[in-house]
Amino acid sequence: MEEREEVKELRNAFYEKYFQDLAEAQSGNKITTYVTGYLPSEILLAMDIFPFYPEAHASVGCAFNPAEEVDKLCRSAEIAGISRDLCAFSTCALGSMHAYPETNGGMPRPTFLISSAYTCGIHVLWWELMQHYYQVPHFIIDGPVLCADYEPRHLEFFISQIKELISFLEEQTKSRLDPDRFRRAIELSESASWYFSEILELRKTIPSPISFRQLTVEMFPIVTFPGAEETTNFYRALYEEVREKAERKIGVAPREEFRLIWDNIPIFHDLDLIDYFESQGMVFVYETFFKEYWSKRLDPAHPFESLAKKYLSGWTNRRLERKIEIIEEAVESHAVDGIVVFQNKGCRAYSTGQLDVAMSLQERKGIPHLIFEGNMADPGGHDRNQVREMVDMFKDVLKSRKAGRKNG
Amino acid sequence: MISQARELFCQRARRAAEWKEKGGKVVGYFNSLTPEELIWASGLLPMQILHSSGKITKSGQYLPEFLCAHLKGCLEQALNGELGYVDGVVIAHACEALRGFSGVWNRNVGIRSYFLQAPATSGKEAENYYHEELKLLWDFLGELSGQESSPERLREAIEIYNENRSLMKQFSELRKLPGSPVSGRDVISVVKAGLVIPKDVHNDLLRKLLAWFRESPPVPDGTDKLKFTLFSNTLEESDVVAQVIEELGGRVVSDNFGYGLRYCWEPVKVGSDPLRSLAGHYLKKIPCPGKYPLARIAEELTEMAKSSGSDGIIWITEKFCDPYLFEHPFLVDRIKAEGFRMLSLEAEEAGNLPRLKMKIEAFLESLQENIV
Repeated sequence: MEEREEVKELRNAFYEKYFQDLAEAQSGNKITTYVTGYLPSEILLAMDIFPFYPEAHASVGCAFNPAEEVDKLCRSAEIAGISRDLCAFSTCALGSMHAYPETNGGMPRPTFLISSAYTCGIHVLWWELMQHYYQVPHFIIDGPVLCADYEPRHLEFFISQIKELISFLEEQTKSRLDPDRFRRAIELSESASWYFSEILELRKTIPSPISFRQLTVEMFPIVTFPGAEETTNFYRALYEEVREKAERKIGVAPREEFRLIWDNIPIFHDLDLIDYFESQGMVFVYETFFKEYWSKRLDPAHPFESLAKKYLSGWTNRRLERKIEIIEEAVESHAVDGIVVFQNKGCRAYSTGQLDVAMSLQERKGIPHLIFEGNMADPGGHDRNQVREMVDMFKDVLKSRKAGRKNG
Repeated sequence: MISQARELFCQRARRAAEWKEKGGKVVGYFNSLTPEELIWASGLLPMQILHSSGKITKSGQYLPEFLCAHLKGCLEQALNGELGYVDGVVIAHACEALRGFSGVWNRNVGIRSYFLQAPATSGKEAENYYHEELKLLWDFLGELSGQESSPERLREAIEIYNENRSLMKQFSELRKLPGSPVSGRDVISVVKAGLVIPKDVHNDLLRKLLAWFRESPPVPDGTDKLKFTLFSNTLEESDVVAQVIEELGGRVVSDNFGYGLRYCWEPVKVGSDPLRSLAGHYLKKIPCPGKYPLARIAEELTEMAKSSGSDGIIWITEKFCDPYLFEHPFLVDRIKAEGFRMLSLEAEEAGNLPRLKMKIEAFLESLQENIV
C-alpha cells in the first residue's frame, strides 16, 4: 500500500517546523536547551524553548551515517578521555563535539542544560560534562527510582521538581509559563500519545501493519516535540494509515511466520538487521522501548500529577518482577513466538535484569529467546554477519518449537 | 596490630557466624551511600559485601558481561552460598547497574533486600524525600531485627560512628609523616577491617593503634619518598597497588575511598531529629561519583591530594564503572590545572603484578625526573 499523501505532508510539516526551530537555535535566535530523553518537554514547548536531544542526535547520526563515521566519533570521545565503555549515546554526542568543535558536533549551542536523574542517572553525569564544556547553567530534575508503581510520596517529590524546573525556566527566560499554552501543550501531548499508543495496539493484528524499523524513525516527533501541534497531526495521520493497513491485513513482510518481541533500545547503526529478520519471516510486533516510554498518557485536568505519572513510569523505572509480568502479558496479547534480548553494552540500566526476563519466559511460557550482545550506538566490534547467523539459528529454534507444538 | 586488622577482615565470615550464635543478625551492603548508623541503631551488624577475586561462573547467567566485577563478584558469592551469614541487604542506589541488580538479587538470592533511593540532588525537597526513605529503611531494619529502635539509639549510633570518623581521620594522617611506621597499605587494612566488624570494636582497635603510634613515633630516615593519593572505587585492588607503590619506595598518603577519607572527612552534625541529620549528611557529604555534582567532587578530591602533599595521583577503577568513568575527564582537567600528574589504571590490571609493577615504576621514575 502506498503511503498516504496526508502522512507525507504532515511528516514534512513536522520536520519543517523542527528544522526551522533548529536553524533559529543554531543561529542563536532561539532559547535552546539540551534535554535528556524522557522529561517534561511539554513545559519547554509551552515556553517557546527549543528542546534539543543529544540522544536523538546520536541515534539519528548512527542511523544515517556510515559505521566508519560513527566509529570516528566514538574514537574522538575516547581521545578526549571519555571511555567507550560508557553510554554510547554519550560517547557519540560528546565525540561529535570534540571531532567537530566549530559546530559543536552539529548541535546548537545551549542557553542552559536540563537533565533528569530518574530514568537514568548517567544522564546527569553526561550533562555535567557538557556543562563543563559549555559553561552554562544546568538544572537537574531529580526523582525517585524504581517507582513506576508510584506511591503518593513519589509523585509529590517529582511534582516538586517540575515546579522547581518551571521556576528555573522562568528565571532563565525572564518570562512566565502561560497557563493556557501549558494546558494546550498537555492536551496535544496527550493526543499524540493516544495516537502512538493506538498505533502500537494495532500491532496485535496479524499480520502486524507497521514495522519496528519504521517506528524507530517515526518516533522522532513524539520523543522530541511532545506537545506540538505538528506532532499530534502527524500521528493522527499515521494512525489512520496504520489502521487501514490493519483492516486490510497488509503486513510489513512478505510473510509473517513468527512474531517477536525486541527487548532493549534499537541498534541504530544496524537498523538493516530488522529488515533481515523480516526477510526471514520474523516480524517484531512489540518493543519495550516504544511501549514503555512513548505511549504514556496525560490528563490535562491534572497536568502536574499526570506529568509525574508519565515520566516516572518509564521502563528503567520498573521493578524486574513487573517487567516480567508486562512482557508475559505482551506474549499473550500479541501472539508472540519468541523474544530477542539485545544485551546493550551502551546501556547498563536497560540491560541488567534482561537475562531473568529471558529465562522466566522460557520457563513459564515456553518462549524461546535469542540473546546477543552489541551496542545501540557504537559500531565497534559489531559483526553484522555473525549477528545474522545467530538470527538464522534462532529461526531454526522457532521452527522446531512450532513443529513440536503441531505434533502435540 | 595491623596484622590483627587484616585478620579481622579475612575472618569476617567466621566472626559474623559468632555474632549470629549470640543471637545477632547481619545486614550486608554494597557501597558507602548506605547509612550504616541506621543499621547499627536497629541492633544489626552492618557488613560491607566486597567482591572476591574468584572466578565468575554462576552470576554470568544473570548479569550482563559488561557489569562491574564488584556486583558480579557479590552475586557470585551469594549464589555460591558464601553469604549464609547475611540476614538482609541494603542496596543503595549509587549507579544504574545497581538499579537492575536489585531485581536480579531479589529473584535469585534468598536474602531479603531493601532498595534505598538516594536522590541525585541535595536541596530541601530531595532531603525531605530522602528522610522519608530512611524512615522506610528503618522500618525494614526494625522488622528484620525484631527490636525496638528509637531516636536515642540512633543518636548513640551516630556518636559511635562519628567517633570512628574522627579516629580514622587521625589514623589516616599518620601515613603522611616521614618515617612513619604506618604505611598507606596499613590504612587500607584498617579501613577494610572497619567494614566488617562492629564499629565500637573498630574504635577500640583504632585507639590502640593511635596509642601504639604515640609510643613509637616516626623516625625520619632521611629519604624523601614520593607521596601518592589513590583515587579508587575498589579497596581490594587498591590494596595491591598500595603494596606495589610502597615496595617501590613510594608512600600512599591520601585516598578518596568511600570508607576512607571521604567517609571520615566530616562528622554527622546531629540536630533535634537525628534521622533528618543523617539524611542531610549522606546527601551533602563529599559525594560518591554516582552522585553530583562532579565538579564539586573533582575540586574536593584535588584539595585532599594537595593538602596531603601528594606528588602524584593514581586513579584505579573497575571496568564498566559508569560514575568513575564519567568523573575521569573532570578529574584529569582539574588535576592538570593544579599541576598534578595522574596514572590511570583499570582494577583488572592488579591481577597482572609484573605489568602493574612496570607501570607504577615508570610513573614513579617520571615523577622523580620531574622533581629533579
